[in-house]
Amino acid sequence: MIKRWLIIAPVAIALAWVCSFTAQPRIDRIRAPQTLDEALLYLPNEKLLTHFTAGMSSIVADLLWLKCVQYTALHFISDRKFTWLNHMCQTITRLDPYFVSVYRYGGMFLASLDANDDASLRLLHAGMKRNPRAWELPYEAAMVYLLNRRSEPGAQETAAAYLGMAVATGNAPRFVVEVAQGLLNKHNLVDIEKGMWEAMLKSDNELMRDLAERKLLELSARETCRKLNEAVQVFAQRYGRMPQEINELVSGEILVSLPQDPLGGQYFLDADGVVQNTSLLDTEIERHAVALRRAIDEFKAGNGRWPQHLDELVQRGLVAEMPAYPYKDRTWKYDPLTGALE
Amino acid sequence: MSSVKVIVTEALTKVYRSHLGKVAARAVDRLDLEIGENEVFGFLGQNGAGKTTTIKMLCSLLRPTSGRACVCGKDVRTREARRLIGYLPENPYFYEYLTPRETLDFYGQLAGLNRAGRAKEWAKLSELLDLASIASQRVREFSKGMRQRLGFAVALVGDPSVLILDEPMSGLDPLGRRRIREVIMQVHAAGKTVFFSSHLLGDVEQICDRVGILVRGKLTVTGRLDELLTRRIRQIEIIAAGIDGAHAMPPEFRNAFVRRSEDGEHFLVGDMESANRLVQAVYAQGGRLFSFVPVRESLEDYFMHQQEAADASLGSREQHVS
Amino acid sequence: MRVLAVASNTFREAVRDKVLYVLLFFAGVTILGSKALGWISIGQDIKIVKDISLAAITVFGVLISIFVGTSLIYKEIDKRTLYTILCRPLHRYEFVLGKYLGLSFLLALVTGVMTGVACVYVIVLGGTLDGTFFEAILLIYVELLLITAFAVLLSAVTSPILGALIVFSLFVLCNATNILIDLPQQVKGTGFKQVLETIYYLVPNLSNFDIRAEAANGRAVPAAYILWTILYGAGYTVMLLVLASLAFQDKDV
Repeated sequence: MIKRWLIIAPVAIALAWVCSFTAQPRIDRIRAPQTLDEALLYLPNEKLLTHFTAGMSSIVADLLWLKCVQYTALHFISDRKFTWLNHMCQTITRLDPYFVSVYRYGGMFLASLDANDDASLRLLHAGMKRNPRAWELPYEAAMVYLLNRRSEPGAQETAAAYLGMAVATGNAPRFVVEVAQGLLNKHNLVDIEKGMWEAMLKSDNELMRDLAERKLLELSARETCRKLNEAVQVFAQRYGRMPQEINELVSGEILVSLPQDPLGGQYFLDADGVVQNTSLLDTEIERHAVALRRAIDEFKAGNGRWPQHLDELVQRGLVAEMPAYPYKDRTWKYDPLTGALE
Repeated sequence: MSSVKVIVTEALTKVYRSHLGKVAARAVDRLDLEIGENEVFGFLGQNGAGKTTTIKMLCSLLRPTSGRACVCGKDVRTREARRLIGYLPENPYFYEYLTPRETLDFYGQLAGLNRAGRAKEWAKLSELLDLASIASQRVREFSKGMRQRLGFAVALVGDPSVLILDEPMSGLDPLGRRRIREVIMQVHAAGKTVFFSSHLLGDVEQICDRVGILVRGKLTVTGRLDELLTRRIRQIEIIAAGIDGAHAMPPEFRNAFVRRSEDGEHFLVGDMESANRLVQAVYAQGGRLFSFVPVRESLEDYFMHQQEAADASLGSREQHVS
Repeated sequence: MRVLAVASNTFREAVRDKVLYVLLFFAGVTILGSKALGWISIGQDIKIVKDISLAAITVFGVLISIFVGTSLIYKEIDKRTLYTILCRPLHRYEFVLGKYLGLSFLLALVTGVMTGVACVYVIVLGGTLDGTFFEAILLIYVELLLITAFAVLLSAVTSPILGALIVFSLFVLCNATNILIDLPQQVKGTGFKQVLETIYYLVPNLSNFDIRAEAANGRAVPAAYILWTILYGAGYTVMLLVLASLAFQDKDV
């Protein structure tokens, strides 16, 4: 009987250890990116907390977050000093690295309430590393640059880049996409914008993929416009005058042929001699029209009548400023009786 | 009785050690036992003598410290041996929430019976032990007698050839005890071997073929009841009527006089010879015999005698040591 | 077949244990009450509900597994129901396995009930359930099976209270084994580090089974991870059951 002990027990234990030695490294490898990299940045006692919460770390993170929110609210009302906010956010995200809300709102509080944009950005970066698909985090980082650091040179470009990252996650809501595009366009950050759309092509969302495809075509159209503008300059240099219409670029032997517009529109020269693309302009019309339409309806809801003219929207603060009609030779057509817009 | 030995133990020993390894108690000491086929064997002893320990070793609930035990030639520690044994523990416990039928079904499954087999077993055993009337009640509500009957039925599941019962009649009322005795006899008639422990000597006398007496872990004697007890006719009680009082008897019998009752004069003599002489003397006196009863040693007397002898020897051994 | 007979009996008896229902009641209260915490936080009430549900399933599962498991064999010895069973022609290890299986069925049922309550609650509150949530529960169940095996081992050798204390302490410690890997990075000297690493591999690492954070936050977990973790758990569980059978083999009852 004793012999059996000596044989079976070690075999069973050895079997278990064989499983452990094969499985554990693979498990650790799959999990590794989350736990091991920032071990040296944090104080030892915080790390210990993670270990000994015995599998309850996610719950403890929830409860600590509640405390953190209360702490913030309390000090917002009283002395506006948020000494522990940063520490709390770090501890919470250590316990639960995927807790996106903490990175986001913690970052927001740190930047807007505590005026500590460095801590905010550090927190947001940590969050972005662990949660690459969370659009909220680069979005908040962009906001930090747009709000806290707006006077810094290059702030807008950095913000635009962050917004591009937000959109690239593929999950960003519509308004973020629009703001991102607007900012990237404004600062001509074509590469970033292109990267953003290309990342969007891989999105799960079909709408997003279609949008990305179209936007990439628009980008290439814009690029073509720019090249055509260069061609116009060459023309001007050679012939000492601006071309009257775009076909002159071909007949003047600057270009072999006019490029096709993949969007189905046309390239033409506007009154100022700048190359434009009809599809791009049409898209812009649509974009502004949607915003104006919304403002007009809001006006009607608030005041019970259609606005007399579009400037009323600006006066009432529903629109920051009247957008220029994309085609420079035309303007917005508005009928105050029916509220219709073209 | 055939010579096939159903239960055989060789120097079976169980020693309990304290935590430090010192011997704390020798519960069973070099037990050599042989039970033949179709025997009813009574295993006697005081409380604490080691009866239950022996039985548990036979049922492989305890590991012997040394020695071995076999049932039908197979070591008790094997599964095959357990197949041949039916065990009824003292104060059996069963799962309280089951009914007798469910209980027997469970044990039937453990014995490897299929559904049909279990149903047959239920029919047979419920009749034998009169379980039909309590078939749908839960064990929780059972009295001691009912539990004992159920326990017996459980022991019989799988039709084992050897029954090992630990104090099967203790705690029962007379009716219960009689029921169990009857079942044991029925089972014996069916060819099974019955080994049971008891300290109810009266019951043992009624049903056993052989007995063994365990005193402090040692088997002091085994043998057939009639063999063990016939040797000892302790006394003969003679009641003589119609004589003129004990003083009328010859002087050798004066010490034998015990008392006078309305039946006559009571005498106790130590052997048959003196008894015969006394009777002749009574007739010579003109009296007559009212009753003549040889008082055989009862099992109880025998048992006490064994116990005292063991105590004495232990005392002398202790004296020897000290 | 004998194993199943013991298992089914164990299950039926354990289901009658009132402690079970008290624990289930409190699990239910905990899950349903989690919404209250959601009201006073920002941006994650569904996450809190999921977090607390998974934690409740874990904690109450562990409590049941420890309290019922450690008393499993001990109760039989104490109440002597064991005697008439062990004298039957079944192997002692069949008895241990049967007890274990009965308790495993019970745990599956309990886990299922708590999962059902949690799922219904999450859906009612407007949240979504993804695969990771159920994978997390699967791994919790595998963890419970491991803990139960250890509880059964202890119930064969010691009293329920001592057994419960031991299992619970080891549960906390084995969740923290990652410390053996992380701490050495701050300690100089490779010899000590190697020793700690070896111990890390030898001792079961329960935090492998913890994908609750991923589940509550809706992150996907690779299937390879799940499979390797199940293999890991199976290895240790089998070892513990073998040891329990061996411990029980020659035990005097």
